[in-house]
Amino acid sequence: MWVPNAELGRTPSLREPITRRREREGKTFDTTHALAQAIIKSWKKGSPVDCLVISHEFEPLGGIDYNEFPDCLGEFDDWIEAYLFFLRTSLEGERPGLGTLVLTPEQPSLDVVDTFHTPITAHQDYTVVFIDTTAFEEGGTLTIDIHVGRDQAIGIFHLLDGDKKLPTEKVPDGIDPEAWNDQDSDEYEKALDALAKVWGIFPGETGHIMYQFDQGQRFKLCATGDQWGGIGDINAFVAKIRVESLEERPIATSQTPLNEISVVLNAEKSEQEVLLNFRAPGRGYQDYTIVNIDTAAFEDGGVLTVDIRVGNANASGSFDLFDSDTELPTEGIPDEALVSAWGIKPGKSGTISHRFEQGTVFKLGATGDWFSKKGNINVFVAKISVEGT
Amino acid sequence: METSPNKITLSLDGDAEVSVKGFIAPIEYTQYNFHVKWDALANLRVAAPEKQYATSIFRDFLPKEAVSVGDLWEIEYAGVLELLKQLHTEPHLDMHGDSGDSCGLWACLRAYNAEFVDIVFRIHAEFALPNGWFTPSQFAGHLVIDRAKESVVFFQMHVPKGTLNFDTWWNSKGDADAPTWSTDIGFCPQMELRAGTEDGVQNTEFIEAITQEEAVHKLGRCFYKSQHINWVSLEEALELAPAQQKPIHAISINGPLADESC
Repeated sequence: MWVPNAELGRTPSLREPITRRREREGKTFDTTHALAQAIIKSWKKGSPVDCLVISHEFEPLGGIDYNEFPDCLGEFDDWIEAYLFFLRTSLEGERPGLGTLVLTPEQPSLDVVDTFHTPITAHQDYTVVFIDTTAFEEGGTLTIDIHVGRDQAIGIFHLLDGDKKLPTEKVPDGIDPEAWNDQDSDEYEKALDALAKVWGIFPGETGHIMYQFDQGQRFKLCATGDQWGGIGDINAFVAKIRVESLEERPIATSQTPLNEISVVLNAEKSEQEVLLNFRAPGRGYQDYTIVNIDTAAFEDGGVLTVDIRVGNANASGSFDLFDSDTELPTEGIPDEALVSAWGIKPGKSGTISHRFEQGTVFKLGATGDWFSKKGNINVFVAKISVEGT
Repeated sequence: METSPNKITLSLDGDAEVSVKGFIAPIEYTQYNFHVKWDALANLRVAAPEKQYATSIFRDFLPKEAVSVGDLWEIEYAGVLELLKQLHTEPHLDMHGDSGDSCGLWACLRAYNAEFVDIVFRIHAEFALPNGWFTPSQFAGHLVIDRAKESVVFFQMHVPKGTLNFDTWWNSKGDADAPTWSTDIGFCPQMELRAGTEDGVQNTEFIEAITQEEAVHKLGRCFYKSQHINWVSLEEALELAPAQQKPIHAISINGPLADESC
């Protein structure tokens, strides 16, 4: 199909003659329906011609400003090849030209700045950031640090699978409308089916989303305002989005099992960050992922600090620090732990701190807490540092 | 004269006279107010409100060979230029802003019966104004012939209405050696040549016919490659895509694809 932009209201100076023509012809033109809206939302600023691919459910799949064609798509031998590439990648879900953040091993981190607002009805008009991590074929951990601006709206952010439809004000089948609109119940969470979420980021505050994926995939980061704030409020946000591939685990040696790594800290490098999984062992058990922390270089001792942030998957984490010669328990309460932080919920943080008299090797054990469903996996980031005496 | 099944030969008696009326209504709108600022546009009026022509001038609209309904042929320049001079004294059929698909004069046999023949045509032409150009979107028209009398029953050649229906170029500083061109688009409610009446034809049953829309579409394809694509409207796409579970390839564009008004 082709449609004159002016008919959709793009050219303000033509509104008058269009209105006159419609009066003359006795015709009306509905620009509120889903297809018209999909076209309008896909327009590039200042573009005289937009080539679009739109799904049969009226979701934009690809869109290019013809003035920027074909350079906006990459390097091609001819225009036909470039245009076929545009059509093919649109149908394959790559959303060419629609501002998808494509993260790759060469460019694993990108920032996005956007706005969101608090709609009249919950789930209207999400701001959506499309994220493509398909280049990470072996999977990785997607981390999103979100900083909300200082205007009025309070932020709610969901991470959805790329193929999942955006939530709308239409209440899904089988859920109480009140629960859907309140956005604050297990029933609601189940219906939303988000991979991860962070709610209630107040103006000027930050929040984090972390999600581990087994193979490259596409995501939608959906932003909206919390109805608990004021309807119509707006705010800005900055999202720092990055992927760490699983191969990037620091200093995993060939001698250590996959669920065990080592870090060595010294005066030159007194801080290191690790990213690992843990598994919920079931009530009464432990199933530790182990981080060996070598602080031997600090001969006069110091303070070991571990700042832990747990991912957004469905398992809370418990963390115990042991001496190196302690055999880690597989069940029961870890009585021999030097210090612990238990029950850190998804998306939340905790800290372990331990003063030691002379340099030694510690074992940090990470496991799911006893209240998480057995077998559930989550990820954690631990920033491990030593301040020497 | 019948030649072979479904093919007919068209002819006109050259001696009779045809009275043609011409109309140019004041321009109603331009995007940048050229029709207010530029005298040539502000004062654009028909050159001759009424004029007599020999019927032979309309022979240029007829095909040289026998044709079937839906067949297309090219119109000769001379008669068209003569008729256009009734609207404005300086018509041109070689478009100054031709991007490769602008020029042409095409006709299509839409319908016939024993009494009448209905020819639909499309012509691209423009007028040279003092310090500029006036380019209508197109001249669309009908020529209805009485087959027995070989006379013109009805003739209409007009610029269709639409939202905007002309494009204009203005050398606003008037320096012909170093022109400074500005362009505008606008709407002229009536630019038309007309002769005879459709009354006797409108209720006629034709032996063979295609619709006006089909004929217009065929003519559009003579000019523009883009018209070889089977475009559907926004409303049609809205219904077809979910019904057929097919994605939509949409081209959202500032100007028209199928006329010369931008």
